[in-house]
Amino acid sequence: MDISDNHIVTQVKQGETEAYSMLVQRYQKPVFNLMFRFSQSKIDAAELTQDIFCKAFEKLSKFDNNRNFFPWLYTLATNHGKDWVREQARKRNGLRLYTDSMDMEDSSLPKKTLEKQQEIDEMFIALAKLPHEKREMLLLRYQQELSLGELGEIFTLSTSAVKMRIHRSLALLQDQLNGKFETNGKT
Amino acid sequence: MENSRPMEKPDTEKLIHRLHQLPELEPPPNLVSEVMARIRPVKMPLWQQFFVYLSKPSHITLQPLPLAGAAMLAAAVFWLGMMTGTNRVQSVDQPEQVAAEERILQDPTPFFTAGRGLMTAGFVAEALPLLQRAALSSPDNPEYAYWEGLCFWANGMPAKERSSYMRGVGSSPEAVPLLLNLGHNLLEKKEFNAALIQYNRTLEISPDEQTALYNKGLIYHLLQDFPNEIIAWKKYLQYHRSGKNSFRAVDRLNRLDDFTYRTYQLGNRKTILSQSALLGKLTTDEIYHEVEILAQRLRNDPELHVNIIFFQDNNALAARQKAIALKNNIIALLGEKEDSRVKLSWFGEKETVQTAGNIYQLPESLLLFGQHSSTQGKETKI
Repeated sequence: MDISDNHIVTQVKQGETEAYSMLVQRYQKPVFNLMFRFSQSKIDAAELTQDIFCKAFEKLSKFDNNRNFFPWLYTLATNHGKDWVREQARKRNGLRLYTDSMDMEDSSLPKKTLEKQQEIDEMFIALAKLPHEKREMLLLRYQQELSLGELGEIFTLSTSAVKMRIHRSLALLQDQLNGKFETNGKT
Repeated sequence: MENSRPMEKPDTEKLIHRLHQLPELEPPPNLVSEVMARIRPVKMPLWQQFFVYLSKPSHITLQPLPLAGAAMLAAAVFWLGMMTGTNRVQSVDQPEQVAAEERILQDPTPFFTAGRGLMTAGFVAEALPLLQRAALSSPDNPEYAYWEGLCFWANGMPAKERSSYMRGVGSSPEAVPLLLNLGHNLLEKKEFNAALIQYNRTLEISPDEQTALYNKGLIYHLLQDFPNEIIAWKKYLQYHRSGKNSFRAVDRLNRLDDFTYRTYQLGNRKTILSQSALLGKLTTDEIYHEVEILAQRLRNDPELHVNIIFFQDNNALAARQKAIALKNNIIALLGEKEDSRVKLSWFGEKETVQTAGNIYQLPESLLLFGQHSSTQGKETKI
């Protein structure tokens, strides 16, 4: 059985720094992917992910063990990502287009067909056009399979409000896929 | 943006399914170690550190794939060590022994074995230098070139992947895995014509190679070369009739207003059959082949009854004759006592078929559907 996040946090707080690697291992993928959605660059996403885990480690003493770890980490990561985007905007680097998704290849053999890849690209482009909160809500719910309660913790909403927003986000995503909206969502 | 139209339930389910299926990027393999190297340990009093050490439970986890990779690596290193170690003891001041030792050190086999093991276990970054070393030692070995290319691909290095395959194909022009993956590499970079060349070379050697056949259809679809797309899907279906891609091939073909092949619901299974053959338009062998598929379905499912409906515009008599001929062929394979399991209908008009929102009028066609005897008489979705 997996050790719970909060148990690992307790261990880390007691000085077992190495135990923190379990949390990094467990959540590096969703955080890296979130950062990629902010930065559109694998190199930047890797750097940001490292920063976030280091920041989370420093703040761990303030973490309330009655809360869930991942929503807390995700909120921290989102804020970090938003700060980074603002900083980049100040540097006038601008955001690149979401074209890197072609790199998303399944490492299992044999390779999947290009057709499947195109379906995936289409979905990523539609998601990229959604406002940040709607996109993240859908990905957290259906890709990361978070519960409505956990989503409520992240977005500080009631369960029913989360449910409603997911429903609206799905409708909006469907419209994007159907080509009804062309506007870019702002983060 | 909030006033979106309400979605139908099936739309939502499909969309949710697609979201579930979305792949995620893999973080760099060294991310955990990089983070751990950056963080500073929590400072604790010595007595507390001692207490934590004593109370810490120890556990060992066994994960089959990494374990297999590690075991293969250990075996290869052990073998290399044994070979070189043994020689070193005996080879002092003996030139022939030194030469033998060098030969062993140049042997790419352990690097290849270890690299392949690591790659299979998912350690693609760690596998790369070993597979590169093996390929460098033996550049003409097609297997090394293949695995090196595959490892470049797994590490997201498509240009190097291509070089490996091309080197391998240079020394082994008939190596199907190399040709095929070279085709995939070119296709992923949207170099369609170059990819087609590699798939055609693959199919010259292995005519039923499923991915090459399918991707040819896909390339022609992307090039909007519809006549060739039709040929490609038909070729695919000539060899492959099951699996998701086969149904997709039929769907593409039908969308191009070609109903040579159709998907029929026979009982609880969808079955792809050549309509042209069943209409008697192809050779005797081809007709027999399709009738045999149908007969086999009936043999495998004794409860299944098949309804055959022929359409022939303005010629009900011809439709009737064809229906009777097909039934006779089926019964010839199944036996007279199965006669009641095949029911016939015919119409002197066009069949109306709806595919992906388009409506087609087929002047000559065949509709088949099957029901289980227990559900006969109940409404069935065709």
